[in-house]
Amino acid sequence: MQSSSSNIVSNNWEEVDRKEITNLVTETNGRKENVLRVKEDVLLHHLDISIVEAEKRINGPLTLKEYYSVYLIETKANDKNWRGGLSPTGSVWRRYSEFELLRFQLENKYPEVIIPPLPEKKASFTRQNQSSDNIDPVFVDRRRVGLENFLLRVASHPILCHDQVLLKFLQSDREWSDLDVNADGGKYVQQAEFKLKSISTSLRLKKPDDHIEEIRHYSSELQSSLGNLLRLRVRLADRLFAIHKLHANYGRVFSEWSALEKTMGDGLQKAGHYMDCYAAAIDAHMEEEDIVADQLKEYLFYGQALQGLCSRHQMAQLEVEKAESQLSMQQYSKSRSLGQDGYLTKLWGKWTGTTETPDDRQAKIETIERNIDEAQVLVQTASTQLSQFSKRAANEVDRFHQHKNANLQESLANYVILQMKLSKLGLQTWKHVKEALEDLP
Amino acid sequence: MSASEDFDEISGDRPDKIKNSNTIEALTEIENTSGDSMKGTFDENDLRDLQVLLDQPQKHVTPFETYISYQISTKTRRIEFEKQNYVVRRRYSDFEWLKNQLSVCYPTLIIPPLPEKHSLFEQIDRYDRDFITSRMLLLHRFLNRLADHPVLSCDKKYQAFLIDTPVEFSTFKKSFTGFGLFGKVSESLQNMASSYISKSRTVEFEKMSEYVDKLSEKIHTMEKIGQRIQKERIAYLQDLQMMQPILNHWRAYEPNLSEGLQAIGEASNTCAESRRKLVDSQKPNLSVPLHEYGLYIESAKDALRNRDNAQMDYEVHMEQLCRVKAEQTQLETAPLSDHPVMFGMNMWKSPEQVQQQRMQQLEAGASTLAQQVEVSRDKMECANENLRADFERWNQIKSRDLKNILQRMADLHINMYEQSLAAWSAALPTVKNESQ
Repeated sequence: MQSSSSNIVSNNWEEVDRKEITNLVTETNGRKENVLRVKEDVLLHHLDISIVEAEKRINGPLTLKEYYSVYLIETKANDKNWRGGLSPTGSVWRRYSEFELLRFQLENKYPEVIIPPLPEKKASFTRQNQSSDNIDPVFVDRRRVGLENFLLRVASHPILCHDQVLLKFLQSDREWSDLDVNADGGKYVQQAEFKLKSISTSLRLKKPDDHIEEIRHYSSELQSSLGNLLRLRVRLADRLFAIHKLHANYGRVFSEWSALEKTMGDGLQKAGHYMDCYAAAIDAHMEEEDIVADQLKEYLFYGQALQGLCSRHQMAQLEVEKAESQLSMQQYSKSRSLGQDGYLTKLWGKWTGTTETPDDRQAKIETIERNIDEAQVLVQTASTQLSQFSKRAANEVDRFHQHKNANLQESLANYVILQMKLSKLGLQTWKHVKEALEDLP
Repeated sequence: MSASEDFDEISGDRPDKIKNSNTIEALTEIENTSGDSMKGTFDENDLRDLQVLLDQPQKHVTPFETYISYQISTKTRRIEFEKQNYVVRRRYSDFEWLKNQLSVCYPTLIIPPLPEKHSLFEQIDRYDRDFITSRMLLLHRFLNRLADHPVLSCDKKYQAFLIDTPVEFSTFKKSFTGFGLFGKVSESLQNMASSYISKSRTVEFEKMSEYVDKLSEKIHTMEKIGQRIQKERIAYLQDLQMMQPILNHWRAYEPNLSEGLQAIGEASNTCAESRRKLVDSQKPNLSVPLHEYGLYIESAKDALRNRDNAQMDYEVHMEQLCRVKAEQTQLETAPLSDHPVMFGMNMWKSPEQVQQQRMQQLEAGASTLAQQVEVSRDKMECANENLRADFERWNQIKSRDLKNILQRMADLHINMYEQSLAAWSAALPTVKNESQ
């Protein structure tokens, strides 16, 4: 009797609370959509994509069991004829490493694009009571959300969404990758090679691009700030969790105490009940806060994607510089050949017994000139490629900032809303406790 | 001793007196630990006929010792007081004396507790401002609890404590010295004895005792929970203060999010501030009062134990009387000669003679024992009555006080959450309006 009445009370205020909060959330969502609504014709407008399910699978013989998770991607086309045709529906199972492979291929194919990051393979910035196990169902589900988000981002990207491999990945039952799937090992070698190269390029560049350096700097600042913030968030969350859970002890003491008292019993019992609620409510709050943390984490990983773009730009620039140095080398040798009347050359020729005929010389100069032409063409193409790259990359970075501002703003607003919600909860709890105590004699 | 007495009568406005009264001036000082902030006032709406106010602690440094004295102002309408207002100064040891006297004279009343002499949780510095403030409040409560007590407030020693001049008070104190020591010893002996024989108590007191034990356990648990929560809170607070610097660093690189990040940083700072208030008020408002209640419950336990002792006294006497009576009847019905041991011991006397003698002895013993039984029964009944009434009263006060403590705790939390909520609500529009 006692507890049921208090339950109703608590439900009531929770409801009011929730309504208010959802209003706030939809408001922010609405704003976000306005900002992001671009006129580009992207895959996402023609195809609904969702990852509906994750499943644990076991691989290998009994003694060498390997657990892994697979994710069911379901797609539904609104417009079957869009760009070469979509299957009306698709449902395929993909595992995490296949997502990695897809991302790797996109990265190779579109070096000037900031490829959206994948969710983390292993849980990082975890709270104490969270499992960091790879096959923990909560973690797998959060990764499912993250992977879905990745697909949505790729499918709404103006360049990436047209990729045939992506379409196959989303819908094809059979082989989707151009690469040898066996390339699991090869892929890592390639990635390692790429990383090595990118480390050395920044050292070898003669005159690094200021704009790119700026982006690189920004991305490292973004990573360090978000990293610090996430670390702090985890610490705060752990403390707060402990504080709330410790209040359950008050709940226990109050209810034991209420059994001792004749006149104070009811009030104490109620107060104890509210303390229990206070302790229990933190679980849900933390789960919601974890979602916000995941959103911030995505941008932490975007920092790496930005770094990747910078490295690829630097490699393109390196090509130009290489071609330029080739050209200057050829020009140098040409000037040397032209000035061959020099004393030394003659001496050299006599001594070796290979005196050059004018014809020979002419032929040699011609080859050099041809080489120069080739080198010039090379420089030209490399430079145009670089300038194109820079232009596209600049677009990409603009696009990234736009999305980032909108997304982070939403995440931050959600964080604030969560804090408000928690404060409200605390406020209500203690008001109820006070009321309950009011009944004491 | 004499030096400290002289100081007792010195209040802040008469510093000349120090020079006259003490030969070693250089080492002597009275330090007014604070100005008016430590000064208390009587509550105008308070209608009690005896009100006591304890305030203005002073530090006394003499060549022999350093101590703190407190000013005690009394306001009363009771006829047994000559005047309506009194002001005296007392030090902690005076309070101790009073409490000991009261517990000896009224073993079965629940004597309010004094703050502990050396608390394990306190800092080592006994002259620390916080320590003195906290002790001052507890001493104030002690005196007012006595003032509210129907029996204890009429006690001569209490009244002397409130009104006597230093000289009067010290002579008064000396007149009790012997008795106090004796009382203590006999009490401890009784306590020892009580652990040997634990006779069945009446249901009423059995219940009381059980209740008191359990309540004290609950209070202790609450104290412990409070400490653990406090520890976590302090750590949380420290972490929360890191929030703003991190956000400020980030802001520098995010022109579009800058305002929102700033708003969040400010909100978390406000929250930290409100949480700091909660952390700071935890000790004076929750842990100290709870701890004090733990001590109050201990004195209830003492009172119950003393009552048990009174009952035990009575039972021991009663048992002896019964034994004597039993022997008497045995002697009357069965002649002593049948008794081999007795016969052996009294070989040179005729059995009849021995029996006669024994009967006389027993007769005398029985009558004194009967008297003792009578006395101890009276004592026990008195103790029962006292304790019953006082426990009833204490129970009411206890409920009220504990309710106040808990409500204060709720209020502090409500304040904290109100401030946090306001801070976050204020930040939200700024955070949302960004990105254009």
